[in-house]
Amino acid sequence: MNRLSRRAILKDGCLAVGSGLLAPGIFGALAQVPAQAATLGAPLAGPAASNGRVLVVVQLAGGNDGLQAVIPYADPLYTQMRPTLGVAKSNQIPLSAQMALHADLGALKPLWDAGEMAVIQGVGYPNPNLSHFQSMYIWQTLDMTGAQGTAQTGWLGSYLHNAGASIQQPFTGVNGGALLPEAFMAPGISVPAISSAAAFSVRPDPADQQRAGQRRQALLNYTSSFTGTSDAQTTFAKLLSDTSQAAATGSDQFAKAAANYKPAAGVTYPAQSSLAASLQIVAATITQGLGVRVAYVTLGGFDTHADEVNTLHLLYPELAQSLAAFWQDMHAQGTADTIMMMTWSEFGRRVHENGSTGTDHGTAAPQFVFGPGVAGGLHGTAPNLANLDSTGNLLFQTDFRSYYATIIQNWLGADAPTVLGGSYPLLDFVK
Amino acid sequence: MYHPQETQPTLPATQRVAGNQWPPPAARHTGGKKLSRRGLLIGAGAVGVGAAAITTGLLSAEGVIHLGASPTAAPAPHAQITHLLRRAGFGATWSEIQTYSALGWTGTIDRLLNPNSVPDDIDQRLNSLGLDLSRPIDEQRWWVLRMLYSQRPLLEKMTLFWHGVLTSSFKKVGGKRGYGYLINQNNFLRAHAFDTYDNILLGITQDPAMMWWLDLRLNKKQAPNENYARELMELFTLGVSGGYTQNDVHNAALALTGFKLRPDGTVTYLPEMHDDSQKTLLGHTGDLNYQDVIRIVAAHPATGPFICRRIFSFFVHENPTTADLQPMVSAYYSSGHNMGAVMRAMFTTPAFLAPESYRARIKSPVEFTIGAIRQLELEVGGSGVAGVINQMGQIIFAPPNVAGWPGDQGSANWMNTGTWLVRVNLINSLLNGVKTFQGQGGQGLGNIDQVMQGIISRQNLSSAAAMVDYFTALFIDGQITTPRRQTLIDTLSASGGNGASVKLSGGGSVAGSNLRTMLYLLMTSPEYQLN
Repeated sequence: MNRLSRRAILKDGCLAVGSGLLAPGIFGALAQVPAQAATLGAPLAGPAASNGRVLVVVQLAGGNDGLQAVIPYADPLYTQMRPTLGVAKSNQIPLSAQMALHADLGALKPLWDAGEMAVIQGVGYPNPNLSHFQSMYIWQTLDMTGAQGTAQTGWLGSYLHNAGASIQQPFTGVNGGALLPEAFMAPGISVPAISSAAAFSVRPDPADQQRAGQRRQALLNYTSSFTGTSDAQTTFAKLLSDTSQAAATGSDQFAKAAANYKPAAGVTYPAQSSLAASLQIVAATITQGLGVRVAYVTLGGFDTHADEVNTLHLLYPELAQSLAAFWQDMHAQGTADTIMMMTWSEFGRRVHENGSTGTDHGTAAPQFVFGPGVAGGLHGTAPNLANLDSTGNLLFQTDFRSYYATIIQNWLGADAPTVLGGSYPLLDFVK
Repeated sequence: MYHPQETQPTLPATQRVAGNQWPPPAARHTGGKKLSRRGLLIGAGAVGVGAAAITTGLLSAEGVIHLGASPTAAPAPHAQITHLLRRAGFGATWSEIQTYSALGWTGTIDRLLNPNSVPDDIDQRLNSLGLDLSRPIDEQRWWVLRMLYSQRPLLEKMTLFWHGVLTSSFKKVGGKRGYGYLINQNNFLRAHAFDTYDNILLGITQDPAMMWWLDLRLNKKQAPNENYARELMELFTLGVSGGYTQNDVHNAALALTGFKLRPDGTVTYLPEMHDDSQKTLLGHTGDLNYQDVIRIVAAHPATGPFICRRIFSFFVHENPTTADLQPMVSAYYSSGHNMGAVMRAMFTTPAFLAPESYRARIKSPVEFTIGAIRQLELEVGGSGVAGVINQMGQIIFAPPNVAGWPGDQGSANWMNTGTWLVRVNLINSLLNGVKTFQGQGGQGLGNIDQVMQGIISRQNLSSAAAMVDYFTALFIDGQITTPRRQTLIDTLSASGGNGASVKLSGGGSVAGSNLRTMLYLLMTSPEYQLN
């Protein structure tokens, strides 16, 4: 069986860079890897590789403070180390004898009560990197050096590639928002990044509507028939050609889906929230049967070096209410059973608060998984505030690669070692 | 002030194409002609009298450079100047191409690198608009209009570069006062764009927006905040592999104590707030303060290669070799870290004009949008422009994170199906005079047929081929293969076109919708999407 070997790609990529043939910066989300492409092997069979299930990834960008989200309230060290930030009892929703949910996340409580919310505690990785961008890179590409620009695939791109996704199936992955995350990087995979339905279509010449189809075809032909005269031009020619073809197919499909989708009766997504807007784009693609396997949304602003209480008082309700609305919607539309949702953030935060009523960059943190398919409840053990590393940060208990592997293997039904380029112990949060 | 030794670039041998050289000898005679500010702003009528005269009859089919037969050639002379103007700006108008061509290669570089010698009334124009610079939407308009209508393209481009490196975002530096800080920071980066890196770093360290963005305002000797100290080394100077440790980060944070940002936005240095303990940073020990930190990091052996790589990646291409960077790195250290010297070294290095540097980046949203509007010579109000740039994934004054825009270092990051659609739809809107892109005067290209008629008359374009050749020379340096040129010519004469027809010089006409479609194909083409 042909496999996507991430290691092989990295190795070849590095070699090629060394000999000046391959520009690490050039090969972004959609670019084909030139000389090495042949070693990737053919993707597995197309649609048959899907088990009909969907993964929705929620990125909390900036480093979400796990100790504020899921509070180890029974540990006296918590308030000692966070004298001003420590969440008051009145703002805690107990989940167990040790742990409580921040009241600002209270909109998630019904999901918890229904057994559709799991908290995976202490997710991190060895030798934690305290740089946002290196840590994000590690989480997205599994390149544990964090050296930007060397990896050619992200973990979701690798999953899609192995699932047989191709340019002809533009919605196997979808991103809510204009910027595509590095997690989707993969050779030959083009994932639509959608900020709104209006923006995601080729507009006609208003004075020449009757030739709209003809002109769009001319646009695609002209874009795809450029051939470069240097390595970079050839790479970008392919990128633009692939992108235009995927945009044409994808915009037709999305236009139909967006026109047919409405939030279920009684479901109100928060207004003025980019996260909620992105989740509705995701909801449209899922409910209208575009074949989505991985959807991705992002909420930023979690880099709370200062004024953390007020910042989270804005972010957590937006997060919780948006996710709650999405799940109400999906239940009402009858698609909830096919969906699992997971959060990630590049790191948690320093246990000791800093002098600015905030927290500096940290390490391990809890992540959330939602859906009827999860084994609800707390997984793992409470964070150990007494046993910190040399920087004053928590030790991780669950490797994020096990977190990924569990979802890939037990939810999406793919071969996790193939997708991730290595074997990691599976967890038990998928029913 | 540092004056680097004047060096002549090593230009590739002139390409022989269809018997014509670019610019033609006659063009050099218009060299003294100043760029007409008015000309730029009033629409397609901007083509200067001199420029129109010298180009009359020149752009026949055989006057245009076609690269198709010579796939590995470096850019031809006309392409060299337009290549330079794209990299050192946002895309030049027809009259600007003539003016700079007449200055020659070295003269063009001199003019670009000495912005204060070029008259510019952009501040006056902006002041008259009555913008409220405590609102992000007006801040974006303010800068978009600068980039569109300033006569100092490299100064604006360099400011954009610095904004992507020494960045700050209104998503954190917000509020009535905070928004204003971002304009102050932008003005600082513009005023010091070609200064020494030491001066730039000293200024940005005490910049109110930066003090908010990376929390230096909160860095106290009793409770150090490491955010600025870390990013100063990781993102501004040494780079993540530059050889600093967590201990260096901590000690730099201590050394950087002493600043106070007052509520009125003034920054003062209070010695009593400075941590005066002995500390070691990158091998230097003493009671180090912020000046020592900047001196040490600016002179560090990793900093020259780091910042030169950032510059080269932004302005030239994304895969420089150590040898490509070497002239810049040498200039950095030999000039006392002068960024003007670094820029001159970059423009004059052979790598700048090498074939692998030509069309070697996807244009950023700012480059694509500003360039298109400039080259169509539209007068726009600016707010719709900022909005569409946002949709392409580049929110001016709000980069996604402290490392700036990923696309600055890897331009493929700008391109996905969604952002490609926004690009092609922008061109469609511009060509159809959509109101969003009009200015107070409401000009836009609503009357594109008239605008085009004016160009055809001035340029004396007498055939479909002549029209295609004029616009390919303007937009893509005339570097187009024969079949792709023919496709554009055929588009002009396709059946079923409608709209008021445009009359060619010497008889014949072209349907308005065919003309728009030809320009649409050209301005969405890979040749145009690449910088």
